[in-house]
Amino acid sequence: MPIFFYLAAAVILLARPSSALALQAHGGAEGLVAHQIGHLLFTLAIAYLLYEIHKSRIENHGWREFKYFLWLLICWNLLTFTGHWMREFVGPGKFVMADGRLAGMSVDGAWDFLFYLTRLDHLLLVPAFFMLFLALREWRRRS
Amino acid sequence: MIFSWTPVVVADMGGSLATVILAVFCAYYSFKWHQARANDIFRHYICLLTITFVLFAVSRSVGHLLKQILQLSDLNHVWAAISPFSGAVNTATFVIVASFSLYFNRMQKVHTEIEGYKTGLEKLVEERTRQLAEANLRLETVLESANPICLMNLDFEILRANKAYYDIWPKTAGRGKPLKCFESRPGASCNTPACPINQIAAGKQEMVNQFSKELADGKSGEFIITARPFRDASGNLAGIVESFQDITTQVNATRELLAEREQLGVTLRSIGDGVITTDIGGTIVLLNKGAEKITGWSQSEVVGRKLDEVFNLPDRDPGVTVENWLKEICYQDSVSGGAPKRLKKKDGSVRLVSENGAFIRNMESEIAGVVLVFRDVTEKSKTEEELSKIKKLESLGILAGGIAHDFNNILTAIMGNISLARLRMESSDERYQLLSSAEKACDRAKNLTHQLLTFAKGGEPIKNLATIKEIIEDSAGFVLRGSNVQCDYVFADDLWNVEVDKGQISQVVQNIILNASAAMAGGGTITVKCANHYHHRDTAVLKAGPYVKVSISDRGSGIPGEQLEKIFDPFFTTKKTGSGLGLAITYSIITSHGGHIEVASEPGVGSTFTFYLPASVKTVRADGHKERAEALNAKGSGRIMIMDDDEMIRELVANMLAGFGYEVVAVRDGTEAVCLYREAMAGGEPIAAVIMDLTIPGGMGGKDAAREIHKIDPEARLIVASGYSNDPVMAGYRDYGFSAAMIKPFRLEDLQKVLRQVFS
Repeated sequence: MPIFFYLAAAVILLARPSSALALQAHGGAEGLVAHQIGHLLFTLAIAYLLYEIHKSRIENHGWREFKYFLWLLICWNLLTFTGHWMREFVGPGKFVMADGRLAGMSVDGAWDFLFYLTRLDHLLLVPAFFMLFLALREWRRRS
Repeated sequence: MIFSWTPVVVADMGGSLATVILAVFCAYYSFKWHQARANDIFRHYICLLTITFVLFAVSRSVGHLLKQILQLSDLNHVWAAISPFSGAVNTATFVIVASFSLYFNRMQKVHTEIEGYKTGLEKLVEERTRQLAEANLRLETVLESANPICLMNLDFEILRANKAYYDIWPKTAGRGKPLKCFESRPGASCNTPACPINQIAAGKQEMVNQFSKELADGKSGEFIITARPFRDASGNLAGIVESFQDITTQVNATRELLAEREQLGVTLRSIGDGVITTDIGGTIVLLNKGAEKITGWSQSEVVGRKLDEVFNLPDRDPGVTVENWLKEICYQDSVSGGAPKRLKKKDGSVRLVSENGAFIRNMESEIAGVVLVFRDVTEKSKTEEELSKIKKLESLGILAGGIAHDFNNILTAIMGNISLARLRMESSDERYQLLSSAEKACDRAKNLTHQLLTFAKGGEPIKNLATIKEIIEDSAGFVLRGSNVQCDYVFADDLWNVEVDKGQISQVVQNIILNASAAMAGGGTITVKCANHYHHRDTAVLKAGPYVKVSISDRGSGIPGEQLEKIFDPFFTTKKTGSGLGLAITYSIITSHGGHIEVASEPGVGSTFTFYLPASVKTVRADGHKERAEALNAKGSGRIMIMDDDEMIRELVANMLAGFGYEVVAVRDGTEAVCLYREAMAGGEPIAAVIMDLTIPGGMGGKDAAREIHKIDPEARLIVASGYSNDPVMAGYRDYGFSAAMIKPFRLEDLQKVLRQVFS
């Protein structure tokens, strides 16, 4: 099963090849792509974890919280992936500057609003880690 | 619509801070959870996975916080420089998390397998632990319920011992180190090569010893110690196991059994009765000392022989098998069993025995053999015969005595009157000769009466000290005078004296010599031996004490066996003219002297009569029996009283005394005699002597009258006269106050002799 994921990652990386040079130079976009692939890997790995947990029918106390953690983490990954992707399409005019600092955003429709929400990803990440905390606390208590 | 960016900044900073805090807590709990089971690989994996999440959260949150802080601090160019690193680190954490996540399945499987193995192992360990506990419990139960047992290592330390062991050898109180065996129970083999541990260490597989131990109650306990090697799981010698078997009860029982056997053995050897035990087939197993003495066989000779060879009864029916004979003995009653039977000894001699038998039964009550108990009753039978003989003589004596008494009175009157009649005649007178013949006939009658009385114990001997040598020589010489038989005398030099009635013993010797002489019709020599004999113990026929033993042997025809038992019976004779009283009287005289007579005879060889007379320590006075030769016709003077219930006697004695010149006072009984004696004393004409009949029917007899007269006159001379020569008064007359005794019938000469004795 892990081999499948490695192959999938390789296929994705090969889908958008850049110029093949003897010593390839890595531009600024490559960082975003690599990060996004990281998110995807992260998401797939979490999904795989959820699958295995589900398959093994582990229902003990603590594992439920852990599964919530994983689900929240998947959501977070998707949200942040979306945020990173949308950032490429949001023009500078959308941002309101005051004294050289970002002060607001001009939201003109659902797309802008969605982008605004992706900036609030901690609303998912903090509960996720709270769930992990609960799961670990329960496991420790039970042991 | 302008949305303020402040909520985004606040959420980003607050969320990052909260995420960092939560991540730290998560790392802490994960670590603690893992530490609770550090060897649990799944926990280890989850812990590592959590750390990757924490790493992700911290790296991201720190980056976001740094970003916000730098931007708020107008340091955007710094953040622009750091940002690629923060993002890259964040991306790397994604990869790390992803990488760790991929091992969840593997780790879970490993975990499941390990948990399965672990659970299985735990169950196995639990099962084995339970089995071990049960085995230990069983071993412990066996150990504690067993005999004393202890386990020691090669350093002599007691590793384990049960309660029974410590009950005998208590633990030393207050010990901090293991107890050594030589401290617990020091013994002679400690520190020697004989020590069981040393022996087992040297290769022995088992050591068995026995020892004694004083127990808490003060009694001695006996134990058998068995020592065996004790090996560890690898088979190496680790020590020894010693078990102690208490055999005190068995040892005590064995000792008691041995003591009982010894006691039985001593009893069997000590008892005088013969005891023979046989098996059921009659083969002899045991013969005690008594049986050896009676049968003449020794134990070593008879073992394995049949009973009838050793216990040889000639009169037993030879047609009866030994087995049946044994059954007869065991089933016979005590009466028939006690009847004497003839037993032929090994040397051929015959003894009389009475026997009884009983079956010997084994533990299953089956007959295993027979015990035969018998005793030699030869002497007892002889004694019984002797007693029977004595009883017969006593019965006959009573009869004879009664007749003789009256007959004596009659004879006294006849003889006395004949004597008086003769005194009044001339010897040339024809009637004088006729009276002399009549007197001789009376003498013979007197002798016969005397013999009857003697036989009937009437001859209670009037004993005087004498030497047996003189009596024998006089008597034998008198009898053998003129015959073709001579006598050889063998007298011991220091022959003891005897106190005997010389007349009676003379009669004994004469009777035996006469019989011996008659047995040697063709002449020969009679050997008379006299010796001192000391009888050491009381028997039925002789009391212990000194005796003079007289043996008279002839070489005549001997006496057949069937006659030998009867020769002392009254009226038994083999002579045509014999009265059959000679040897009966002899027997009576010897027994009345406190002696014993026996005879041994072998037909064709001769007979030996042996009699024993009690010896006396007194010496015979040289002038003790000086005869007083006074003339028969010497005259007396004075008053003499005659006391007799028989008028005929009174008249006769009065005539005799008157003939001697005495004045006679005749009285009928003792009362009259005492009265007249008193009157005579008072009247100045005292009575010089009183002749008193011992027995006065219906009146005071001589004994009582003598006592009364002595009260009046202690110096009174009293003469007792009686036909009852067996009366003790006649033998010991002095003890009753009499000066002399006179046996009826008496002649004139006898009367005069007694008077001389009294007045001398």
